[in-house]
Amino acid sequence: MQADILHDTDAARRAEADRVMLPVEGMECAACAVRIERQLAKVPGVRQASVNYATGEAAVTFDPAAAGLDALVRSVEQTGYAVRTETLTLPLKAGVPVPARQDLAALFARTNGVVGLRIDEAEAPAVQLTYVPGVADPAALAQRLAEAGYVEAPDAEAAETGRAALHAERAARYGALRRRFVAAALLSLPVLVLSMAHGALDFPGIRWVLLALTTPVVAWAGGTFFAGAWRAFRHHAADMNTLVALGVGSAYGYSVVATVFPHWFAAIGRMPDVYFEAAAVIVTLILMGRLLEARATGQTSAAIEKLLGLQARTARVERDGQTVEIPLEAVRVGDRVVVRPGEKIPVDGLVVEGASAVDESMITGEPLPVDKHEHDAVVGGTINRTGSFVVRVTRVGADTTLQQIVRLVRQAQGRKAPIQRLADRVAGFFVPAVLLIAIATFVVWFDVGPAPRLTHALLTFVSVLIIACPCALGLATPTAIMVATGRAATRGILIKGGDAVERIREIDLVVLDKTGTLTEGTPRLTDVLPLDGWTEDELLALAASAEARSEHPVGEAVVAAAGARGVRLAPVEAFTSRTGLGIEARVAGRDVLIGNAAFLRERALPPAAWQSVTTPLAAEGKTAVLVAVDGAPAGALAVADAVRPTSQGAVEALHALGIEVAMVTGDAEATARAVARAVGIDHVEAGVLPGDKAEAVRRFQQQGRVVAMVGDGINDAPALAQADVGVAIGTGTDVAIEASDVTLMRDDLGAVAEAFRLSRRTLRTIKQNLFFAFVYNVVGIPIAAGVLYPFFGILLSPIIASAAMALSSVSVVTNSLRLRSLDLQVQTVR
Amino acid sequence: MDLAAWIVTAAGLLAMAWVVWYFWLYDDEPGA
Repeated sequence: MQADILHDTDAARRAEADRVMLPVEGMECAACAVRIERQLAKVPGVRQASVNYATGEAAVTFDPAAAGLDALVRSVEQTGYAVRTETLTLPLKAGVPVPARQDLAALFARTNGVVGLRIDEAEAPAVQLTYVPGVADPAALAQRLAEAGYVEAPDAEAAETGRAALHAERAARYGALRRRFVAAALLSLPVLVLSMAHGALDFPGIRWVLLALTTPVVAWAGGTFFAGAWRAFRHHAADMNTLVALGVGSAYGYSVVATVFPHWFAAIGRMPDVYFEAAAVIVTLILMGRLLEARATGQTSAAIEKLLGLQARTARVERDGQTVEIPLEAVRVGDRVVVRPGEKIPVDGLVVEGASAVDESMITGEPLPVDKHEHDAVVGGTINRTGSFVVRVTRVGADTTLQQIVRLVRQAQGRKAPIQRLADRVAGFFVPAVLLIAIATFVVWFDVGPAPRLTHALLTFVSVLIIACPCALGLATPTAIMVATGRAATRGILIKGGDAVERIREIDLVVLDKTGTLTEGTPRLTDVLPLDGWTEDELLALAASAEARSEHPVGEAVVAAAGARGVRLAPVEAFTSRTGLGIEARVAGRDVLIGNAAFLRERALPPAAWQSVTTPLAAEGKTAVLVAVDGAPAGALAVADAVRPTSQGAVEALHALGIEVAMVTGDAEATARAVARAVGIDHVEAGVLPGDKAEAVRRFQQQGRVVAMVGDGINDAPALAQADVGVAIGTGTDVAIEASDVTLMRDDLGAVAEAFRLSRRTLRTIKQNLFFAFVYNVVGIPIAAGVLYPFFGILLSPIIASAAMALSSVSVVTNSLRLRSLDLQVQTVR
Repeated sequence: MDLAAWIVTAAGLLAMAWVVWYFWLYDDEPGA
């Protein structure tokens, strides 16, 4: 009872929570993401906020009754960042009175994503809507205004998708970054040559030339570091910008003073050295690191781009007896779409005419084309290979399979693995700690270091700040998760998030639902077993005739087998069906009873009469269907649900990963054991009613197992949710997908092993990344501080430090990208 | 240690204390 109440309130709570993805502008590092996350979490009504630095998006789950989108946007802005918004301007329909502001506000009151509206009453009155792209769809907003009669119906082709805008913005940012890098590199080169020549190229006023060359590098190309550092500083935070800005600023500031007021130094007996080359080259190298990083993180989201690229742009639709090509956005449910050979299927639908083979590998990962006939479902984005056919559209727009996959993958990339939260926290603590170390380094070198002590103190101070950038730490997890979920999606495996990736690794037991998962899910007739006085054909003819009226899968299997053997069916005079027991029919003047033991016992026919033929069946994994004619036992039919050809290999692959496999089924013990033996399953839970699967999973968990449950149907949903990791197999039901952490787009258990292997490799990659980033700092900071100097005379120049820093980020991202080419096939020893 | 060293040491300690206060202790979130 209590469990029910809990469940209900839980469901209610989930129902009223909204989830939005806000595009955030101005994030420069992982520490920024943490800061925005904290700020968002403070907004009343926000349940969860997760900000992904790599995608530049904030995923927020909130209660729309308690918090509005504008509150979220304000909160991000308070932190010093911005949520990207777009403005949609639509001219008012001629002759329509200018609507009142409240009317418009009421129109969009229940629409997520609209943050502002304005009525422009100039010579051409227009409505201006400010909205968050990705949350609100401009086409839908225009549609709503048109429905209310304020504006003309929108042109379907004109609307640009939020994704495309995001893409354009990213490209523009990349371009700007590259321009700054190129300018910085061109200016830094002469600075470096002049400074490194050690007086050979000296000329009067060389310092002023260096100053002139370095100033634009620091002030313009490196301007973002100072702006970012200041933004963080105002909020009592420090990030990599702080370190770079302090390092570069110190080197540059000291050099400027030494150039402009050399007599200050001369007065206290010091050589007025300058370090313009350090400032310029650090800026250049860090910009190069950012550039490489931007390119690599762009590649990590390539999988989504690839999925979106699958979508056709137009569809050939039958309208008024004519076939016309129209934009995809204009296709409606119920339209008839013509698909020719070699074309992409534009939408989800059912084949209503024609037949063909369709390549579905992009969705399912299954390489062989699938034959499609009338009444078969086809998926938008797949490619028609051979024939042409007509499809009746069943789903359009955001409801299509392809868009659902994209949504799942994007959500997955927004969800953080617990290991990343740790890395984020460390990054937050890390920068102030580095500041302390840098200051201490300066003091120690100045107090007890060799002469010239100010020079040494300054250089080590700058080196420590520069080498300790935490960006490798911040990139370690999100890049790996993004590459892995993208890679999995191309193999037909949808992993719901970083947390799922991390939990999969812990799994030591996979529980399989037998029917439809391990087996084909449709029974077929394997044996006809007549008792004395009957022949196989006589028995089958009567049974199949009676079953011809039945809609039970076993009945269909019997009729199909009779058809295959060429057995002629007799007319049926009467028919009744008893759910879960059997059928009763009058065929050619004879009374036929077909059913299980309980059914015949009820009719005073003891099942013992059939024992001679049925006893061996259970051991073979077959189910006996008993037949009686005119009140006397006539024989039995054996049906079995064939094991999928891939099941055995999949179980072997799981074993190879060190995972045990259990099976839950409603079948009798003996039947279940026979199937288990055939495919090598370790544990069997037989006689489990469909509603008790979750209980079976719980039992395994109580034994200390970490359980993954694999299932397909709605009735598996509770078990999928109960398991530590739920895996929905097949294109399955929405309920099963919702309850699961992993969805397999193809009916192949082998994908389970692939998902496990990928998760393990991903976690290994994350650990490698974190280890690398950590070790790099632990080793790099002391060297930069000059720990090796007293022993070996080794002192790291700030230039080398900045090169090492750039390298660390790039190597972490590159390591994550290796997951793209990982071979997912699990090697098994046969 | 000369006078300059003493001054630098004092300034450094002061700066470190300020960093601890400004970035760690100032935060209004307990434990963050």
